[in-house]
Amino acid sequence: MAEFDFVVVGGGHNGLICASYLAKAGFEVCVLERRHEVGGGAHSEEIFPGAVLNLHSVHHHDLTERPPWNDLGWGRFGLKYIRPQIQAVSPSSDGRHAFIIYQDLDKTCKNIEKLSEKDAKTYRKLNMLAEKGFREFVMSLYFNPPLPREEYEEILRRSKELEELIPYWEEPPAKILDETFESDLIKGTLVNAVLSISAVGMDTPPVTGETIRILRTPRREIARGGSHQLAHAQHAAFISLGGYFLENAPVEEIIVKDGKAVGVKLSENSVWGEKVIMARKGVVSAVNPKMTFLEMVGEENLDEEFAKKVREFKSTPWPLFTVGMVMKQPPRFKVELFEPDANYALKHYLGPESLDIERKMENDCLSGRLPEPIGSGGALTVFDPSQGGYKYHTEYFWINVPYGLGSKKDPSKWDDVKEEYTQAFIEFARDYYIKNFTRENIVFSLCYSPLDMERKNPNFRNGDWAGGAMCKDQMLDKRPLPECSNYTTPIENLYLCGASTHPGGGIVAACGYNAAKVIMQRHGIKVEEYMTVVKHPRELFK
Amino acid sequence: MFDAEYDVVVIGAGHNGLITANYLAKEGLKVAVIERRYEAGGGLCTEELTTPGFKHNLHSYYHVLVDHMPAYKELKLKEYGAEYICPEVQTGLVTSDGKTLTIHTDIEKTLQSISKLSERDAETYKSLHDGYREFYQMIVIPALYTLPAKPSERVGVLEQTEEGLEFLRLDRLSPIEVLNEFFESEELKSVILNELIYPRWIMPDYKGLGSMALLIITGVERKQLCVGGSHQLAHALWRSLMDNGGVVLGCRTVERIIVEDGEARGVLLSTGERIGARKAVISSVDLKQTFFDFMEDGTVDKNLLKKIENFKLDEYSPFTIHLALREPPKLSASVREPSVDESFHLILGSDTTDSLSDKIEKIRRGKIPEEPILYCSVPTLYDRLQAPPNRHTAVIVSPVPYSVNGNAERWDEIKWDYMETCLEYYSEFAPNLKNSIMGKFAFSPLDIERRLINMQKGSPFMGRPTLDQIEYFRPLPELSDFRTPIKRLYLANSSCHPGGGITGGPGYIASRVVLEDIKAGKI
Repeated sequence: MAEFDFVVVGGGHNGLICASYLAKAGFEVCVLERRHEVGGGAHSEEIFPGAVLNLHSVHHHDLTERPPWNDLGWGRFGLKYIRPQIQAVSPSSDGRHAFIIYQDLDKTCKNIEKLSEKDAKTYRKLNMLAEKGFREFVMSLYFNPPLPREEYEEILRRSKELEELIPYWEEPPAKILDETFESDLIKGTLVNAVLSISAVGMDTPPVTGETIRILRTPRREIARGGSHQLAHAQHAAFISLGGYFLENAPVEEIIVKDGKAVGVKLSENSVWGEKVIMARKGVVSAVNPKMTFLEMVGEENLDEEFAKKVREFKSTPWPLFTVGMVMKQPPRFKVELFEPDANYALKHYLGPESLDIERKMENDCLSGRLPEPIGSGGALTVFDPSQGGYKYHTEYFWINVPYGLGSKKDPSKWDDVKEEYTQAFIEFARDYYIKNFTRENIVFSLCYSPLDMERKNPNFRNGDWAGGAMCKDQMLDKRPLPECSNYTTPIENLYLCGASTHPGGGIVAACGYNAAKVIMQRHGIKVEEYMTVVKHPRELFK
Repeated sequence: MFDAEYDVVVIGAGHNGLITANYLAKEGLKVAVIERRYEAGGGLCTEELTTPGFKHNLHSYYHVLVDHMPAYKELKLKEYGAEYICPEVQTGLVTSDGKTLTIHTDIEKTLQSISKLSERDAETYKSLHDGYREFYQMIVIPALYTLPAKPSERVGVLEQTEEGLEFLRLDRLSPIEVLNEFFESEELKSVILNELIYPRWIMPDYKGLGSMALLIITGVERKQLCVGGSHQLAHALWRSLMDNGGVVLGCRTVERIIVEDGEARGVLLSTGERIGARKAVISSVDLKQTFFDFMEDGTVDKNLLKKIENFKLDEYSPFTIHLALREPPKLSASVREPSVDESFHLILGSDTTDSLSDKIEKIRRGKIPEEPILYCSVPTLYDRLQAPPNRHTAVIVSPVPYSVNGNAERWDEIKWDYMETCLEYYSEFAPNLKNSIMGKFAFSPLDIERRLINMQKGSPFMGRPTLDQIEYFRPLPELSDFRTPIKRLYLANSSCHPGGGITGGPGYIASRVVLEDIKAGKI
């Protein structure tokens, strides 16, 4: 019988981070991955011979400055990040204006001046405030177990500078951005950015300062060769730390004995000869709570009240529809005549030109209607030609859509409409924004619906990339549920470490870090020996 | 002067590159493998190509030498996650008039199937199987993992005995001549010839390869599939390399092999990184890249370059179709012979040796046969992990020319039509196929080289195994010991002995040669 100290269910980026820290601290750790590839959302695929597309996560924000980077030595395995100077462009449909965000604040403000002089001044002020203390605040919020939302607010109020940002912490994004800026293009773009990183509606208060986060200068980076290269580095680091990893090993059951998690049972089909793997010290699940508790632990081992809450755990209300394109030439914006930098921006916002457009999108998603194909994307090959095999260019594009379509909210309808919807996007984008989205230039296109996302990776249940809606009642000390917000669960020795835990979805590198910290502390390990400890929010602004 | 320095730099993280790196790292050498693609594994490639949840093996989808390759046991690849399944019905053939033949792992069952076509052939098959099995197991297979002997040495050993002489006689024939000598059943001959064509790239009329027909009969090589897909073997090799302290540097293109004073000192990458190699640079990629693309003009002797230019690539290219299926194909012929539905590898479009030869002649002339030759497999019958529950995948390989009437680009225009031709033909044997298809994808010879530039001109075997290009002559006599005229530069690619496919041979032998040179103090 195989036996380890810890068995981690799920080999995505959070599972690997948690497992790597535990291995570093000297535990025997085994990671079991259902798919044939490591990495979960850190995924790339050669969708056309020579051209690689990242079907899930694309940008990783300043990952090289976060604790796991050095703690786990990912840089040793050939992983390189590229941070483009021009971070984003949001062109107007008349082809004459664009909101462009640079790494350099002066350049951004100079661009905004063309849209509104007043907005340029406001943006500069807010950006500087948000950059100053808020970056440290967010790092502290990410890389520590969660506190109640009110407590974070108190901490913010301690800082004189950040106090000015409190309205942006409290007020709904649409309202506050509408009051702050004049330009519809800026308002629409920023609201789209908020919606795309959370399940906070534009007319409800944000949870973890989403509005303030998007007012900072973005530090989007791309992994050279594609997002999956992060997974490779993580996997290599884990193996080097003595860990054991196995893909094609679907976990069917978390074995619970006397209220305690003691191991896992693998599917009959799994690669591993032995189907039962015991865990001396604990099982750590990186997958969503529904799979963890309802399918793997089983309701018979759960308190009825708790099981009910798990069943009611909500998915992101606007998952992503992804369009992938392989092109001969890189995208060329209509607005290039006025704003030549547009062609060299990492992120493309197409369509969110006003709050009304955004509101319509939100309503369509909530009621199961197909929204206008607006959203954001980018051509990574402009910055990393290796992703196009030095020959092709690619564009990915994300559209927020409902998971279920029609009055019955039926997800299977996606198979009927996805091709047409993809064409509708391409035509819309070509008519208004990118002139060479033409039949001649596009050699291949791929449509990837929320249903496809779930098919590829069942952890993305309901096409939810975020491991559950990142809304007020499912965030911070309530993520995924109040009973298990500290990475522990009602089942002894069963821990959570995935995107369903604080601080949530995306390649943040924090869920796995926090979980490892909690587990190590429970075993009396001095965590400073193995990880860079980030200042606790309560220590800030004293 | 170097951004990083290793003892050994291996170019290419295909299975040969990874194996050689593993063996050297195990000896305590510091090894880096440079890989162009975003994934390691080369031909060990599993991707969700048609529909999410369906896994397709884009190149090799079964491996015949797992039982014999030293790396599998010595590198503990099973423990690192490469588990194999050996299907009981290894191969099946169905003719257009519904005749069937099945080859099993159990020789008795194979003989039963043959005897339905010819009692006499079954007897001959048994006597050849029993008579040669040990010889192949003890002599022929181990030779795949040692430096090829000089032609005279090989003959010298064999000519001593009567059996040896008989073997030499058979060897001098072509496979089809050997089969004609022994068998009467067209179906049996056709199966054996097709087993040589794919995945061994040996054509029926290759003189001097007659003995390979016996290899198939002995059954010492068995088709096995890697659980979870072929790429799982790459993962196992990768992990074992990590554990031995090696590293794979992915998404990096080699611009040049740095040669100073006639010695390879490292590689220059397209990223501008210079990676030093204190002991050796080993190229596991093809000869063209190694000696032309990676070398400054004048580094390699012109006469050698000329010979390398003349190195003949594969005679056909595998056109591949990947399907996502609702249910496995059900052959009409299975009404009479149920086991044919379980064939791991099903041969269609090859009723007689004559029709097979006609089709091959067409392919040689750059034509696509009107009626295709198909090799069909449903890996999910054996490995449930490669598709969602109750769903299946299929892979269909059809030998075609790389250049259609001299024009390879033509494939971009005709590949979808040719896919339909193949599916239409398969459906004649398995009527439920068409309605069962949930997703499909075609992969042309051109797509092969686009994805893996190493397999130039859509040649996965990386050089046809004709008498002038095998054993001591592979790729050329002066390169057959895996050393090159450039000191510290070695080869470990499929153009070397024993050739293409997932044999684990070239990588293994190259590591022996490098270690030998290190021990002798030569490098």
